[in-house]
Amino acid sequence: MPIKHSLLAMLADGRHSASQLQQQFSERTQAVWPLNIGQVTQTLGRLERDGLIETAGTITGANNRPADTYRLTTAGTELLDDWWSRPVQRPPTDRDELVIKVSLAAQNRSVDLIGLLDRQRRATIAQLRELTRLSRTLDHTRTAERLQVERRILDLESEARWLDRVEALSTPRPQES
Amino acid sequence: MSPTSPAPLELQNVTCVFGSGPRRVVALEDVSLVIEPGELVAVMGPSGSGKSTLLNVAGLLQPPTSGRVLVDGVDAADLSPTRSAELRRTRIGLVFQHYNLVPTLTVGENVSLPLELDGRAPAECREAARIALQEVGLDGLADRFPEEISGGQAQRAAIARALIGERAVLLADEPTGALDTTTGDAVLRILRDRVDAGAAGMIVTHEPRFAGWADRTIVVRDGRLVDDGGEL
Repeated sequence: MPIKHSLLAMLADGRHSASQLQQQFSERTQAVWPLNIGQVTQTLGRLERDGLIETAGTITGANNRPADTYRLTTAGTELLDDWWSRPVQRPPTDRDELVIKVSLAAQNRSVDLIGLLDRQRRATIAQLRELTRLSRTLDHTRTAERLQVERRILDLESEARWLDRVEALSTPRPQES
Repeated sequence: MSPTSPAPLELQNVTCVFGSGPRRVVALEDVSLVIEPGELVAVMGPSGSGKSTLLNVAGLLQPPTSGRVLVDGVDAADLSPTRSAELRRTRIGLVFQHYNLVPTLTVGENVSLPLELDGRAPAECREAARIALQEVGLDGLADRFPEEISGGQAQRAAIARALIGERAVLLADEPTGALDTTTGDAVLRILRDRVDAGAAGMIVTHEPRFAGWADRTIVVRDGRLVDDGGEL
């Protein structure tokens, strides 16, 4: 999870303390990705060390103790602007267990490949069913929870389509020894 | 429904063969299936596997070569062609990918057509069509012609036609095939709501996303039901 950039994004809206940032992140994302105060303070420490944020005074925290507040530096603003403008690159899944399993099954006559695909498809659609039920209870708005569920639905849909594609492909020729 | 009531839709050992000799094709082979009230079943499988034949047989559009199709416990094969057509018209709602609306009739007339064929009074037909259109979010479009509405609206009108009256069975063949994801979700929500209200539903789809709306997914391959969606 990009905690560093998330904190910078919230600090772009104004100065905040660590506990305010933790609370705001939870509110903005409907607590889909829990963030504990230790993660926030550690990350703030690194951001300050790297010159991306600076202290901007103190406030009285919820426990009546003084708490530092932070604001973005010019370098922090530039880094955040770069993050907004740069597309996220997903790492390639070159060691996907399902792909490896199906590849091996496709070349092993003792394995019922179609049966394996059927069982996997059923499990995938069962997960899809659970998420569809959940999505029916969510507002049709771009909340973090809705975005997370929609993303997962499309991932599972993609997996089911991949299984269909594998079934449509022909069997590879046996390798000569 | 009492515990002894028959299921709205039951297929018993259905086989469907087309052609003969070298052109003989077994489209369905020994397929048995029960769909209970409140249950939506998705039918998936490769192209040409027999999915649409299964839906046509279940919808009494295609008689099986052998086996029985029971609607509310009634075997259509025991009925005269007229009574069989009446059973289909009054108890089964059908939705197709390309809507199958009659272009020379208004949306309202399309929706009320099954009731008019039953000889219901025109005022009753109009009121039933108004309610059915309201149910699918198309209030105010009754006087438009099919060519004057969008694809998503046409599919919802086709669903309104399928829902009108006391239909116990809803059958849909790729109802979202020509629609974008958001409109497809809206169509599935309407079908799902009607099934939740007590109908038995079956939807043929090749789209996993929409199979996710069903309670059970069955897989047809080479005319055989290879996965009935039950416990592994």
